[in-house]
Amino acid sequence: MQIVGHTTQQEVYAASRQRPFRINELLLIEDKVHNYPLGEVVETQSFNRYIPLVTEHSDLVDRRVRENLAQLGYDIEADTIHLARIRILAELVSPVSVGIAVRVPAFKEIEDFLIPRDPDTGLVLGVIRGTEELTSGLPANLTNVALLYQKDKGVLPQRGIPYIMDHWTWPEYPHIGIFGGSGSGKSFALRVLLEEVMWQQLPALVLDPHFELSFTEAFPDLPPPYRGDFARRSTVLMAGRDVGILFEELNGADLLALLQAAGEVTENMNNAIQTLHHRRDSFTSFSNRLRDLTQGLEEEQDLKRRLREDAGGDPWEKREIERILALVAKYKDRVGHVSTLRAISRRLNRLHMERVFTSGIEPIQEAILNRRLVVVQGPIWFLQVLGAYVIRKFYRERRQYQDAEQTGEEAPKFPPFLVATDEAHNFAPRSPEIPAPARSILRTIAQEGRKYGVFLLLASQRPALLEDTITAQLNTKLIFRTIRSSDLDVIREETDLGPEEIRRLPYLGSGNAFVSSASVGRTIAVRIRVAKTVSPHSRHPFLELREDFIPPEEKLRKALLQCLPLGDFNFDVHLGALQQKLRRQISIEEITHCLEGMVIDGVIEKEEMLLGVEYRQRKD
Amino acid sequence: MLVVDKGLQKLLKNVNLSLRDRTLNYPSREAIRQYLGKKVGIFHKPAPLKANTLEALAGGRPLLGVDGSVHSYGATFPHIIHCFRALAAATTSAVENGIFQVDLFYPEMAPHRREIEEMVSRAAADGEVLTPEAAAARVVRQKLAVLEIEVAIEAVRRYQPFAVLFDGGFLRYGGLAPSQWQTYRELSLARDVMSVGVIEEVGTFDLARYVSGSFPGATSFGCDRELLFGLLDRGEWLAIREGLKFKKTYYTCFARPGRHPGVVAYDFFQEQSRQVAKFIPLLFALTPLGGRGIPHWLDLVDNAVRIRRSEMELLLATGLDKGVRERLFVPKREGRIL
Ligand SMILES: Nc1ncnc2c1ncn2[C@@H]1O[C@H](COP(=O)(O)OP(=O)(O)O)[C@@H](O)[C@H]1O
Ligand SMILES: [Mg+2]
Repeated sequence: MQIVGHTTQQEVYAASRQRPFRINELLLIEDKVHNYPLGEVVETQSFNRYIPLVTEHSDLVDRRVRENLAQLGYDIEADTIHLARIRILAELVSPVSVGIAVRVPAFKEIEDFLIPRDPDTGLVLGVIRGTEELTSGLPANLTNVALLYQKDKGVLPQRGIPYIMDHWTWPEYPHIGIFGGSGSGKSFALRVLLEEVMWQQLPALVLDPHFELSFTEAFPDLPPPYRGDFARRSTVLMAGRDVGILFEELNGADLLALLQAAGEVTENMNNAIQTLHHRRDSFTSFSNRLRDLTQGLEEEQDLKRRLREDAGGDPWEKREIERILALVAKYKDRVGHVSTLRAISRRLNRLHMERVFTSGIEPIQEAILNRRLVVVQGPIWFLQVLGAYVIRKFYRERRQYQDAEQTGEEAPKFPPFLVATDEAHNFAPRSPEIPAPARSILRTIAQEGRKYGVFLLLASQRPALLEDTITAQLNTKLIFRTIRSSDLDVIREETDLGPEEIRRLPYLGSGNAFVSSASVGRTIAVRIRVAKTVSPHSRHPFLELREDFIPPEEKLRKALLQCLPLGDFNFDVHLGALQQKLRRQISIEEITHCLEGMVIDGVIEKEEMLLGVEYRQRKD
Repeated sequence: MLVVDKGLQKLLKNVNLSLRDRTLNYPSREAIRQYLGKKVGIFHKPAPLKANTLEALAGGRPLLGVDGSVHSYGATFPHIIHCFRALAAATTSAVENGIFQVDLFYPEMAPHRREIEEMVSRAAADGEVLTPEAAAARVVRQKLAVLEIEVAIEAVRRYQPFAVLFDGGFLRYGGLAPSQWQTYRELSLARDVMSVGVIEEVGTFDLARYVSGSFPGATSFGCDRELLFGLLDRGEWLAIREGLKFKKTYYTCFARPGRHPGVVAYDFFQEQSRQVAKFIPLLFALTPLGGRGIPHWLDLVDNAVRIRRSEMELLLATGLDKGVRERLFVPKREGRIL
């Protein structure tokens, strides 16, 4: 391999007759003057002398001519040349000379360059593509720390140098984005990242609208030494069951956000909400006020008449009427029409039915304080509101604690933490038209969270729809397969991916990504490692049908087959065992019916015997 | 000028008219073919070579392709550098592993200046007056021809080919480098090597002249290329009758090996004219149907030997000091903005 053609300080071409180049592989340029710079292959080409001729003229060189040339001894392969465009990974003051040799480096020569930390103290996310050839030269502590996975081949040994993300640089280069089209490997990568986050015991709050981020089930066929006990380090909470929002803690803005999540909220409705909601209102006090006022407005005349009639002498009713009329007098001019109040009630009830207000967020807080990863699962609208509320609260507490530390005051301890979510564009949409309760707090954290040790980890399949100040603050971006041009535009703008990488993006295989990282200062091509856990419902739905939804008749058939031969003479012998096995009542009629079915299907044979019928195994 | 120049367009229209008038008066294709068949030569349409017969025909020996290239860089005489490269490649190895020879000619260097002076005085002896510039141009052409013949000789010795394809006719070699060409000729004949000069752009007039006037209406056919355009069927070739030798020393025939209706010409040594009929199907078999009519091996050789502008620039950039280069060689037009 040697340098050919034009060279510049940043880029050279290398050619080889024997060895095809691999995309992203690192090569060492044996240029003493420039202290042996490293280069990364960003484009490869293997071409035969035939190919340029084919394109120059309209026609393909016909097979006939090639075969005839072959008869005269011409070996087409001999004229194949492998070419690589190499981006130099150092700053040179002058171009590399043409003719200089290029070779695959030894691991020792690039170790400092590629391994920022050892695997125990960094996040091991996968392998660096293009370093496969160096696998055998890796020291033990870097071997098989990132096993790989391929759908048709299963779990595979590590090939290549591990890609280790250095989270210790986050205070300087905070926040991570994971972008890619559907099926590109985002969720998989998010899981891997969160596993590493758990391994480092970084407290994390994960909003999981897909109900897929639990970590109790081990990835199938994973070698035991590679497994990890993630159940101990994570907590999964269901929004509305395990966690919710205590109504008493809501302020007017929170309440508005919540109601917006349950349906559109007009300006009139908002006015009414702000007027009617009092600090430390409980759900009951607020909804009662709403109900009474609605009734009062609707029946004002009636009630006044009843009052004039002294409520038929019922003192309790009289007090009630007075109370309601007082409400009417107080709010009538400020809350608009009854229909507005009804609309608010409907939304409020919907939230109540979803059990939004039945519990608090203590379980989340406790998990964070214990340096666990806490996953909150729920429908996205609920998570938007709950997330906004929780994140705002935690961020405030973290800030207060840290500010107090500075001034020497007392404040409850609150640790640094991570906020992670898939479908981030739903939590912080770019378009200001779309109401999104969590947008502003996420933006605040994006901009100043690093000061307090609060970091974002956002995955999205639509970077173009994600709030743009947030996108700009994501210092490390993992870019998976992307096809949509609006998303490609954002990636082009917001990462240091070069035109070659952008061109490759639509064709990346699932699990392959470019990592554009401000702390590393260049783009690295990686393959994400196999996850150590799986989503509990990642089974194929049809496989699930086959395994979990066997029709009762099918089960009975299977059980009966093991009891053959069967007949009137021994039904009672087997009945007990059968019932126990299938855990239900079974009648002789059902058994007979089932056996007859199997005879019809040709599964077993039937013979009339002296003592009745006998069902038995087919002879062939 | 982004819009078509009206004045030039009109002038071009006249050219078109006069050419069209000429073709209007053409006799029919059949009439011309009949005439040529009777008076000039014979049309052959050999059966295509059968698959897997080539190796046997070649006797296990390789095919050789020979070509040369010259690239000149500079603004004005004498500050022009000429780089030469010739290549003879055998089909038994990669084109790049063929026999290369290079040369350089720069009129300001003493030995090269002497060559120009010699050329001028030799011409003077023949009563011809040459400017140094014209003499230099002739030296350049001569050097290229010599270089090509030299690689051909070396390759014939080394590879024992059954045939040699030259990119271009034989007249150029014989005219510019007679003694080297003679050496090659004797060597190749002695070793039973078939030599062919493949001419892509037929530039002769002999046939056209011969035919013009033989038809009522005194049609003029201009040149051979015009006369023969579309006249041959695909896979057909035209042998010129013995005795009607247009090129004295060589045996020339015309052929249409592919789909393109234009013809190519093949030059052979007279001594080998009897083998031509057997050899042409082999040439056809090596020529892509969709191409320009050149055997593919020659295309590969041509491609490998050509000195491209980018290569020349790289050479000069790495070989000459920047000051020297700027002062003497970089044409001002390279600085043009438009
Ligand atoms: N790192 C990886 N290694 C191997 N296969 C992967 C990897 N990441 C994703 N895949 C495959 O691609 C599929 C889709 O990945 P997923 O993360 O669900 O995509 P997304 O979330 O981007 O829609 C996975 O089911 C898996 O088969
Ligand atoms: Mg997904």
